[in-house]
Amino acid sequence: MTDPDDLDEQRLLAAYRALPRPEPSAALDAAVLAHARAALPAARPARPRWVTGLATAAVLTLAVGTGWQLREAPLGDGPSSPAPIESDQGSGSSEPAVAEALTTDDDVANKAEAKLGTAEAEEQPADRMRDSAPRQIREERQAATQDPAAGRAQAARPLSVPEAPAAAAVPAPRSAPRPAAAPPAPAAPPAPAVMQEAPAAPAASTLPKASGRAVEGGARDKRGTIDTPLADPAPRADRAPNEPEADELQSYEGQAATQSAPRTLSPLEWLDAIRRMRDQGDARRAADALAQFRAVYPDEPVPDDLKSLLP
Amino acid sequence: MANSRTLALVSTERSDESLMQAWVGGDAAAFEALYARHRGMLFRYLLRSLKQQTATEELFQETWVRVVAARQRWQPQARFSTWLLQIAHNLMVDHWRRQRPAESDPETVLAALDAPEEDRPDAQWTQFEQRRRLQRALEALPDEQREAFLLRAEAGLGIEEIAEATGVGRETAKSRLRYAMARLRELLNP
Repeated sequence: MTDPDDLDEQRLLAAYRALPRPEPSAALDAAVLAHARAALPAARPARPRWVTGLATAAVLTLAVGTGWQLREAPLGDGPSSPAPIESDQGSGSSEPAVAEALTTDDDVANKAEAKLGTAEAEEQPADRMRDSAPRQIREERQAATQDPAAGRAQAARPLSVPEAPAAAAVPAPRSAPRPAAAPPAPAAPPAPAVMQEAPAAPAASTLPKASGRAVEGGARDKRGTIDTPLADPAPRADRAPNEPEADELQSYEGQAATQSAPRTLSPLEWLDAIRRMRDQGDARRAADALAQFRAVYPDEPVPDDLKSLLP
Repeated sequence: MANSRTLALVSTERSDESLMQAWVGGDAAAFEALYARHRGMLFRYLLRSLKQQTATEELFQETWVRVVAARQRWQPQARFSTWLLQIAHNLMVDHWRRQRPAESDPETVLAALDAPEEDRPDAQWTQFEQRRRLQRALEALPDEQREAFLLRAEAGLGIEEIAEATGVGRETAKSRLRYAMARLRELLNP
């Protein structure tokens, strides 16, 4: 049996559902929905999917591109990578300095000479380029005369030829020789200790020492090893005629006096070196050296014993 | 009401809770479906409780504004219709507290009901008169009893849900609903 109360309830509910069913107006609906739509973006700003996709693609492209560039950089010779010493590329503006710094034998000198691409370098004979090493030695000695302690310290250094530092000196300007007519400036008198340090060793040992010291001397003059004597010629104008400088000049792989080297010598030293060349039977080089001597010291009289070498 | 019909078609399959969660997650269409499903029930509940068209529209809109504002606090365990009617109930209580006890005005309510045309012919006068008497009987009920009946008849809530929506105990809600039913029977069958 059905409960009378339930039956009454069902009848009442049925009667209620038969009542009119009013609903909100369209304006009320629009107001409520507009409010809901307006509140939604403020609470949770929705970002279009294409924006996220585009941003992701851009980030990936940038990352891949950067990684690719970083991977490629060590493989190629970038313009910023230092030019290797033996490289045949480059303008050659800095290679002469490197080549001169490494002029330890004729092969290297010839190689450096072959690399000289500029007209200025072509005007230089190879022997002039090789002469930079003795000049370097002299330069260091001269520096040692000004600072004996430093000179002794340099003398105690190993005589290795560090090529890497030489390469680091690539930016050094070229060793363009000065006009031969430029007379050397007077220098301070050399200290006796420096005179004793002057090597009378054969050229084979002198050149590495010169190169090594040239590199070490870069601490004083980063521009290189060749320009220092030109910038500060400091010729041994007051040296004695028989000081080892002449021997050093003469023993430099048989190279006679060059245009640049004698400019650091006093007239007496130069003439003495010319005499030694002549005495050794190398009249041609002696004559060349004498000609250069006259060009550098036009006012100096030519000794009678050397006049035979004049043209 | 083409608009309401369109909205009603949208809200046919998904549950209220699913729509609510989707809307909280940013789906604007979910709210439209939810609104279409409950707009009529809420409006009638408010209209037959308040018996004032203007107050009904005001509280109807305010109820949805509260829903929008409090959507982040909604718990999926709660039934959406119960939560919605609870908000409406609280607004009505505040409204009643602000207003002096309004004198029953059945004519105003009946005028707002906008009865269908087919119910008004003279041939159906008896049926129309029965509905009018039911409406008058509803208006004569105490507010708590009428609200309990409306929650039962309009929203289909059970005793537990009526108690939850109105903020009273289960027995209180059951008692209110029982007294409402008895009073309506007396008024309809004098």
